[in-house]
Amino acid sequence: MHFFTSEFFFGHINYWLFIVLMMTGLYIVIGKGNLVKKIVGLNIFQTSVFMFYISMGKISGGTAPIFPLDGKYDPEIAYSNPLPHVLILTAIVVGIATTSLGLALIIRIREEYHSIEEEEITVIEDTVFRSEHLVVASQGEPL
Amino acid sequence: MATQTVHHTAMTLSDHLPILQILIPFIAAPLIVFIGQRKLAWPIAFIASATSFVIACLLLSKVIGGGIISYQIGGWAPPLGIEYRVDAANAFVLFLVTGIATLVLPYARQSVGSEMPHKTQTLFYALFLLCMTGLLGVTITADAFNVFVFLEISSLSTYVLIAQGSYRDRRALTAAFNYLIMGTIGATFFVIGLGFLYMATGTLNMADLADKLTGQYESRTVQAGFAFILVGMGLKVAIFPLHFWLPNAYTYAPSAVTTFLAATATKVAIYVLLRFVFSVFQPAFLARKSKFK
Amino acid sequence: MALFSMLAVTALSVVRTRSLFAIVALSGVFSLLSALLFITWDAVDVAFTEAAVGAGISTVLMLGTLALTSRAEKISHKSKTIPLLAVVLTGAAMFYGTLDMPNFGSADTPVQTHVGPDYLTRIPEDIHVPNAVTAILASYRGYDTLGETAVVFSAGIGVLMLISGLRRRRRDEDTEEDTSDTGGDNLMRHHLILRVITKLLVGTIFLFALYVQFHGDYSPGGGFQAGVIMAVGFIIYGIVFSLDKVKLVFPPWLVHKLVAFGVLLYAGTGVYSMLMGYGYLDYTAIDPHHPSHGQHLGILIVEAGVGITVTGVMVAVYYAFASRTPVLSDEEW
Repeated sequence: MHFFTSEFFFGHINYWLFIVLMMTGLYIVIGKGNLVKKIVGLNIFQTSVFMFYISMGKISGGTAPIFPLDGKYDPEIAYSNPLPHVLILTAIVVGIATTSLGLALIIRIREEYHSIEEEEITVIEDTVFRSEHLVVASQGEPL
Repeated sequence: MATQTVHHTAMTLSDHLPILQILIPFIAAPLIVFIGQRKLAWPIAFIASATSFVIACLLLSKVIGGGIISYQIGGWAPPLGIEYRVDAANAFVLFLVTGIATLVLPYARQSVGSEMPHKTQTLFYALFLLCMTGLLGVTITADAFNVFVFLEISSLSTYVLIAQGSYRDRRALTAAFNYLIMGTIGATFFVIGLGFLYMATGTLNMADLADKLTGQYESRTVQAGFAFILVGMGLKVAIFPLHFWLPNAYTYAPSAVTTFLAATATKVAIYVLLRFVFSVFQPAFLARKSKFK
Repeated sequence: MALFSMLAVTALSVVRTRSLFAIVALSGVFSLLSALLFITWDAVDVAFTEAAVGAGISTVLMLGTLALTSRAEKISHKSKTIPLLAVVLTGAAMFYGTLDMPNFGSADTPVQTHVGPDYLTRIPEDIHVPNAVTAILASYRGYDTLGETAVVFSAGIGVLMLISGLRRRRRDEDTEEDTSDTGGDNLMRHHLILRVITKLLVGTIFLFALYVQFHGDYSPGGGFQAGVIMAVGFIIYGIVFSLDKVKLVFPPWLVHKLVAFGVLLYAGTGVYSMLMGYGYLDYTAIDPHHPSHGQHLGILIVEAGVGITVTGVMVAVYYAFASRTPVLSDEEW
């Protein structure tokens, strides 16, 4: 089994550390009730995924994929793969777009519910839901 | 630098149909915002979606016999560049999406007029077109990462469109927020899965992916990548058991939005899912899986 | 490895901390640390963007949100087992996937041998742009970038639709917000040093943004980063002077037009190449006799489109956030 060699371990420890970071982020998103915290968790989750992508493109002893000014490609120099960089640039932009939208929604939710805690909001929604139905049942007309 | 002789045959309008399919609603959206006139917003949106419906019909008639149209964006051959690929299956989905959008818009005019304040109506149509663009782009593209980008165009506009229901019921806001969280987790899972596949193949073009994946089905990286793409798209489409956010989102959204999304978004996502399951991964992958069990 | 442990500590502190203010600061720290990591892995463009976005804009927006919402997280009674289970399961699935991955940094992986090197060998001939990332971003995968601009655009108009200047027309019972002072904007009036430095700084920021914009094909940077930096210039001006002042300089109607114009410029470049008989976004059309000139020019134009839209959207989002009345008074900070 090649899984127990130290070479395998040190070649993969990076990935495992990303998994830890990603899962911390994911846990904040689904395990925490505060809406702002959820967005922060989402950012951490996504940023860790970005790190995973960038680590794919890295070549040991390589350098940043920017050619010298004369624009010649020298096969002797190992450049890290630029494609993951491009993908992640796009993903970062998508991430900030989602973040700003999420924050705007939080502001609206705060204005409507006076809370940014998931539990409190659920309670409010349940109460409203029940009272609507009670009114309908007893008086025959909604609020 | 010497002048290069460029061999080039000019492309005609009919060569451009695949890109025009996306481009017309895509350009109409910022145009609506740029003009900024509420009275012009609906006509522009309607013309754009009707035109793109006509294009979808043309494309469908071209490929219905089993042909495939490939369009290289930027003039770069895949896998370096991004490719659009129309076949009978996705031409039908395009036909469906544009058709439904064109049908929903006249109805939306009334419902939007009564359900939303004047101020946001102009932007509503721009977002509606963007949502449609995203769905069409996801359907037509042959590049796996391009799927993610257009998926996010449609998702982001969907979140806002759903939240517009808050003028009637504030629960639309929480529904939209939950959708945003679930949708983003889904999209990120999709990106993770894609990363795994990219790790194993080095490419993003779907045909190239399928090619490079054959013979790698035993790789655990590929298997995990497959699982993440499945779960990610599953969260987006709300397939059981990942469906819990969906009922709220559709209940509280403005009625025009619900009609449009219910009829299109899920179908597009299922199409993408099928495409990954049956085209990027050949049936042999699933057969191997069942043997494994 | 040191970076890793710092990242992990930051992420874990976010789980533990209750003060939202601290959490937002930690999230900025996380972004900066990850930017450092990106640099050590040769992804300079990504590092630049992550620093500008994660530590810059998104921190500003989150602080803005806190001012409009609340400062502390309440104790949650939510069950922790199900989320933990889901997270562990996901983590295990990923761990399973890593087992067949090649070692980090090795040069003979599919990633390093299949498409990546083709870009590296072809860019100097096709495009003559030193920064390979810019070349792929704006030309080979230029269509993705157009899509990304559209994502920013939809987020921008989405935020406008959700919280545009229209003050809340909420029910009458809620009076607590209306008593908070609206004078937050003018609070900086007495900080002379801050005002003088800001005046010097804003000009420099704009210059730097333009440099990043137009030098993106030679060095790290490009339309997106430039747009963010440009927007930060306006935001700093707005924070130190006042929202009204910055709105005089850069009126909202102009912002809205520019947001749309950037996307139109980008998409229009492609339409031009179509009209010239080439494929969509084929920049060869711009200069058919010198394809690489055309490519270079095309990249400049579309990057300008990206820059314009991003600046516009970020400023518009800032306006939308800043024109709401904060529920937290300044003493509470």
